[in-house]
Amino acid sequence: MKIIGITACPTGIAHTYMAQECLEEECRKRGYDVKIETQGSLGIENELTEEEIAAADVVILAVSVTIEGEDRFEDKLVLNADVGRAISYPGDIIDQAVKLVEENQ
Amino acid sequence: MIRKDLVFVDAPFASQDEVLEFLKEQLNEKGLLNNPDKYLAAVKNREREIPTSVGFEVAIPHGRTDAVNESFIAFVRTSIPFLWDERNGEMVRLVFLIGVPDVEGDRTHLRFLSEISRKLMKAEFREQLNQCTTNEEAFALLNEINEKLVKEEQ
Repeated sequence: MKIIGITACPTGIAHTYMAQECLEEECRKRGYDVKIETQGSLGIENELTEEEIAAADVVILAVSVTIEGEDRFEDKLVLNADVGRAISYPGDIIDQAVKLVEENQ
Repeated sequence: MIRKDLVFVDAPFASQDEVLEFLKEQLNEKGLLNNPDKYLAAVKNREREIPTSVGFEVAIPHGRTDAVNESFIAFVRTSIPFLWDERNGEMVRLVFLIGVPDVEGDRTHLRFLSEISRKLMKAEFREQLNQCTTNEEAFALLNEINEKLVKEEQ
């Protein structure tokens, strides 16, 4: 399973990075490939490349603000998630993402 | 940006208001705020939107406003966990209060805040914070992250 995503919160100071860490950790625990781009106070970091987007099974957008470059995922399976839930319940979010992939196989 | 005189281990507080009021005074005394009430209002507005407790007994109240002179992070560990916000019923013991000026010039500060946010998601790091017995120990733990970042950027 290859999972990519973006995290972003209104102030972009803490939650963006906490959510990134939690989603990545949950994926690593399950042995999934993962890369999460952050759009926070530091701008865009860990930016997803075209190749990574092309190779991904699913995109998780754990955002509570408008993000840059959402059009990059037009042809992808996208799961919209709450940035707070990504921190408190990353397991649920990844479950939903996997389910979305399975339903669309 | 993390400073020894803004680290408080085993503080006897039992509510969000008590913690925030205490820290507001501390921050003001140390010259980090030019308008303490405005800063506190920004923090409380943010809390009203959605509580900043994130589980694991951690809360990270924060305000980004021109009432802040210089970015800071203050840390309070209360003696026992307390109810942070009735709306989500989460208990909190580790409070990181963050302030960032409206116009942030120093990326190192922002990088530190992002790094500490990530570290807080690790059970091992929270355990270390919970086991500190003095302000100095907690400060050393937090400062380690800061020094590592500064070294990386050099």
